[in-house]
Amino acid sequence: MKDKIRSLVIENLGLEPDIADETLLFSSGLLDSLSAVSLLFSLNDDLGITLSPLDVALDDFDSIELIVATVEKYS
Amino acid sequence: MRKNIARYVLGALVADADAPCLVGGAELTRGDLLVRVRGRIDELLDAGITADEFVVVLCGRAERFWVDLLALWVIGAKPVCLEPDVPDDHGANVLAITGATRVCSAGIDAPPAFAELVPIDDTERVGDPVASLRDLPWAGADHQPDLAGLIFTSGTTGLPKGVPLTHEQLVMNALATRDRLRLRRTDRLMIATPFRFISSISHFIVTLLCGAAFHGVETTLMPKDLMTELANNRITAFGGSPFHAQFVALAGTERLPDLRWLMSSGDHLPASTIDQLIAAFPDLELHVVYGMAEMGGRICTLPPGEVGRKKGSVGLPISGIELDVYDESGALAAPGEIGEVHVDGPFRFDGYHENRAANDAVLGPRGFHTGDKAYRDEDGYLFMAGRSDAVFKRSGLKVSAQVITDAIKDLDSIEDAFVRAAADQMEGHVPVAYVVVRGEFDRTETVRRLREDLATNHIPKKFVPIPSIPRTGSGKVDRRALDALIETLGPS
Repeated sequence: MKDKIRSLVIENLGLEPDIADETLLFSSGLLDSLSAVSLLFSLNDDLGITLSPLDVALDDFDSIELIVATVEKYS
Repeated sequence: MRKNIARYVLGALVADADAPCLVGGAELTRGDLLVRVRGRIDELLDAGITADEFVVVLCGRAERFWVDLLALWVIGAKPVCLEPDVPDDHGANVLAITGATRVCSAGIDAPPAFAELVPIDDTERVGDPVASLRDLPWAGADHQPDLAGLIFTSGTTGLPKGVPLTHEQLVMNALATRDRLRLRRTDRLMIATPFRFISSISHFIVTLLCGAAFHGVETTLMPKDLMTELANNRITAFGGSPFHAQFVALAGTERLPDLRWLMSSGDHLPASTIDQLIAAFPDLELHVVYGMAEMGGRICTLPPGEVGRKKGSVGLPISGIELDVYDESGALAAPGEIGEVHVDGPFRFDGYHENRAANDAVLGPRGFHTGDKAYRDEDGYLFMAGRSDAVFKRSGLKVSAQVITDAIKDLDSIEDAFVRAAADQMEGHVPVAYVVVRGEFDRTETVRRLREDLATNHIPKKFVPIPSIPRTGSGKVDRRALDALIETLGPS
């Protein structure tokens, strides 16, 4: 599951394939917060899960590591 | 004396100096804001700013943006409101058409496009107490310009165009809107849109005129963070897009017990969202609004009492706006018939700044051709039906399919492309790209390259590789043939 989520995040956001799991994506300014909103909806579509938008804060999506943990927690 | 929007706003502050004014960050009373504006006026005058001068004012700087706007208006200068990361070509055009030499950018780094501009120091100086509007150094009647500044279109059909805002236009639009929206003095209104948008400026002005308090957040918030911000700041009134409204409906009174008023603007508010809002907030005062910068703010509003009866409508024009819908032959559209919205009246702008070609295209005997498609029902209520060009809204923000298509076609790996909007349950509409690729399609690389040139909302949600884009003899995309081709590919 982790590899699949990592791959989808990289593909959706156009990240470097070798990006570290702990690299901060949004608080670092690498990406804007609108990307996080779009990513949330894309993960729901691509993974067939129903992650509620009201459960996920930007802090929960700030790295691949955190995204994986959040998806696994709520899906 | 000519109208000056700052007289109306600051007059409302003088009348109620102890009341909260800016909340959720700076926490300023109306009196606090007055002395901040007074101090800023002194700084601007010390810097040599003169009436009639264009001054670039960058947003993304919290309350400093509003302080700069009000101070510049008092002395008769003309703020040019821009995003902090303005692209080079847009920035160069702004400087060419305004001749601006100075920028209000304290608190952030000015973008490379404005490296040559002189930043105006901002020490957040607190000025002398302001007990009367006569205490302020207003521009003399002979120097008082009609122009209150420039804001820019989103640039979805080319380089952003400068929309001149006049004081007269802002005053008349704000007063008409205030009467419709009925905010209370006890309200705490929040917006979550960039301050340079006309909708944000209109919200700020109207909120202060009503005696209410204002809270603005400029970054796009995750829905959960938006609800937290609304709840923690005990927000009673929220101005947002239908994209925001769907999450407010999901949150309900349990998470947002203080919310009593919501205004939706920027896109069509679906009937399903209206039903969810009413179910979640039985006492909610729901206003649906349609507006454009070219008219100084709002154009139509649907009052709460009509939301159930005229579900999906943006209502009737505010006083002072003349609105008609014309069909393709140029005749007035019959009730129920979709055509293009034309607006006119004393709020209407006289044309984009220094842009004759654009003005010839959008101004005529029937007023301003908005490019928006809509129909009116038997009672005259307006129902929006998209755009007459390939522009649509994603998460409340304008997107141009043409801009995306051009960017994709510029990629070496792509032979041909066509982008169009597809309905999306969460985001309203999203761009879908049909691409003819050279070799293997690499989505990650394609997205990475597009991010260098396109805003986030322009990145396609979906890419569909196809063997060819069917075109007519004149080179236009043959949409029927494209649909048939996609049909043969099956579900993607």
